[in-house]
Amino acid sequence: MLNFKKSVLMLLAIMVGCIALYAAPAMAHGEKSQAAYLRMRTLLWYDVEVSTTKLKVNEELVMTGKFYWFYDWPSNIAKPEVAFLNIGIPGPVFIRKASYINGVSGTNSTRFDIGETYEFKVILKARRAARVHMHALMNVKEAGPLIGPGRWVEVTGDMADFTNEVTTLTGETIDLEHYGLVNAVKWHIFWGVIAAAWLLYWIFQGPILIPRYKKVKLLGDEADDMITPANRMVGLVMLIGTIVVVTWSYFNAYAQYPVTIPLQSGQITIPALPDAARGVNVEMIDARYRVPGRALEFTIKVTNNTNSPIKLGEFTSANIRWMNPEVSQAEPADSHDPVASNGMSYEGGAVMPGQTKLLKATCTDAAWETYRLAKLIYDPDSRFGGLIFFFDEEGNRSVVAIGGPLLPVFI
Amino acid sequence: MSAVHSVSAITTAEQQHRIYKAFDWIIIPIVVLVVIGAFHIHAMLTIGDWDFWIDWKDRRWWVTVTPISLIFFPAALHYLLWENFRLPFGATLACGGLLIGEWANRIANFVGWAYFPLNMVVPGEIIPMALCLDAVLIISRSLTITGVLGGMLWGIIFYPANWALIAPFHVPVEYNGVMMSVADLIGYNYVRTGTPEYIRIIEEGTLRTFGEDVTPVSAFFAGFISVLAYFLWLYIGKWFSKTTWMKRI
Ligand SMILES: [Cu+2]
Repeated sequence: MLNFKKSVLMLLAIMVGCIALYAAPAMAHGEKSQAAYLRMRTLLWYDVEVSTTKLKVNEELVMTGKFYWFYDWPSNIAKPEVAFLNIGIPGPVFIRKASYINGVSGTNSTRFDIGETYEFKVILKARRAARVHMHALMNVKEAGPLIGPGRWVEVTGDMADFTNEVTTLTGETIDLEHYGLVNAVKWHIFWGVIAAAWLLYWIFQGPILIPRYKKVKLLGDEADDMITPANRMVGLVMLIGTIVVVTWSYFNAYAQYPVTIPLQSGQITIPALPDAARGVNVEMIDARYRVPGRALEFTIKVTNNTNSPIKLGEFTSANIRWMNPEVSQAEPADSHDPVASNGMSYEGGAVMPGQTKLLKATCTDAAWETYRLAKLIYDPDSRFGGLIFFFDEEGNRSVVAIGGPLLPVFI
Repeated sequence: MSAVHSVSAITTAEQQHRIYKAFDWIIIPIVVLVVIGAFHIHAMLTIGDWDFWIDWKDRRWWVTVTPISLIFFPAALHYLLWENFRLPFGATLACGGLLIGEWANRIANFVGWAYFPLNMVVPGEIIPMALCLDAVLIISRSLTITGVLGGMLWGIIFYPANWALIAPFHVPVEYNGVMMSVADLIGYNYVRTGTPEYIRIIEEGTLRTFGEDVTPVSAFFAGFISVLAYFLWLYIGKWFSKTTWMKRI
């Protein structure tokens, strides 16, 4: 017996420990917890911006950006046949006023194509005071959440001032914060009182347990006689009363709300954006990860079919950006925005129109370790992926996805 | 001296009455708490989101799943309380207890912790169906008749009893060029990071958007399965309420 108790306690302790362990990465919103190859080869986000990072209750914030569904989608992850553009926040700090994917309303779930790019826009209205790390997020059915870049956003003000008014198609203006609540609570109280009365009717005939138990055993087959005609009459009144009230409430609700529709579901398909590569072709020749230097080195064969010379300005993957400051500059937006402003350099110079050329790029930063991307070489599938950005002299950008096997270099 | 041991401490009928009453007041609250806890876990595991969110309360799945899943505890308690005590309030006790637990959960967790508006997470109304089940039992004094008639009524009455609560949320709204119900709009407005739109298991859209014939079919189906589930759980209640341990009282 003592051993049994001990083992139960041990089991409990182990369970608590496991929960604590698993809760730790969850606190980081999954930014680093998913396997590196998944973060690098599923949904690649870029150009993500928020219109403001400090706002008051009832003010609006717009989040915009683009996402690309990586061409070499991991075979063990469900494809985005059904997906929903979401926002990663702890509870409704904001309400989502509107969301658009390539200009189409994102209220419904959507089907996306692998290898294609889409742009999004989410309009949020601040609801309660909080400082939150807000993420763009894509939920993919059977795959889970694919998390985008995060921004620290601070909302000030009083939640009591928040309103969310809409006008229905029947011409009524309602505040969704409180709409229908009083009515629902009123019904719960009404039925709650009847239920309490029914229970108390029996309990106050008490003591009910021991005497009735004894009587049931004593009477045997005649135990049903313990129910008096008065008891049964109460039951009959309750049955008829309940049916009458339910019937009345049902038809009354129909009279009050003659126009109603069922819950709306359904799915849409949104056409992708035109190819963001704009005529730049890239072939992966070789890619290595140098463990001591925390550096990704890759060689690519670039063919420039545009009519302007292009240079390599950025590599991005898993929401981390390695910038080549000679071509394109960017600074971290806040303390948790992984931008390596100086992280990328390359050999080979500009690629002229019509030219095919080898470029050798190096992407260095501590983020390889801090964002646990270096673990890629220990993943069951150690292929990597990402987007590279070329810029021409007018600042036009070509975005090309690259990927392939990644070989580690340990010395 | 040995005679003293065989004499009970209870000497008068009044004393006995007091002790029986004390037994009631100790046992009944414990049973209520256990029912709240166990029934609540059962409801969250089997119905979960369907009962949590206003935009899950559809005409097909919610209407069917809720009564079928919820008849389990009332049936088991009916057996326990009727067979041993001839007490006919098992369903109301179970459903009342469940609602206390659900309201506490919605107010503390959904509103207090996650700040969802309360109107989005009001629990379904399950008292009327419980009252009917108890009433049929006391009128018929038969668990079999209660299973057949009461179980059917239990399943059928669920949707009409809730329509007064959810009808306002089915008024149509035009939003960003799409027609939605108010419930859909609430589900869209109030961001649920872990519950994207497609997770909802609700009636699929049909061409008969303004039709109403889905509900009665679902309600009768729920009633029919509730009857079967009632008998299944009656037997499980029978197994749980073996009273050999009480023989000595
Ligand atoms: Cu975060």
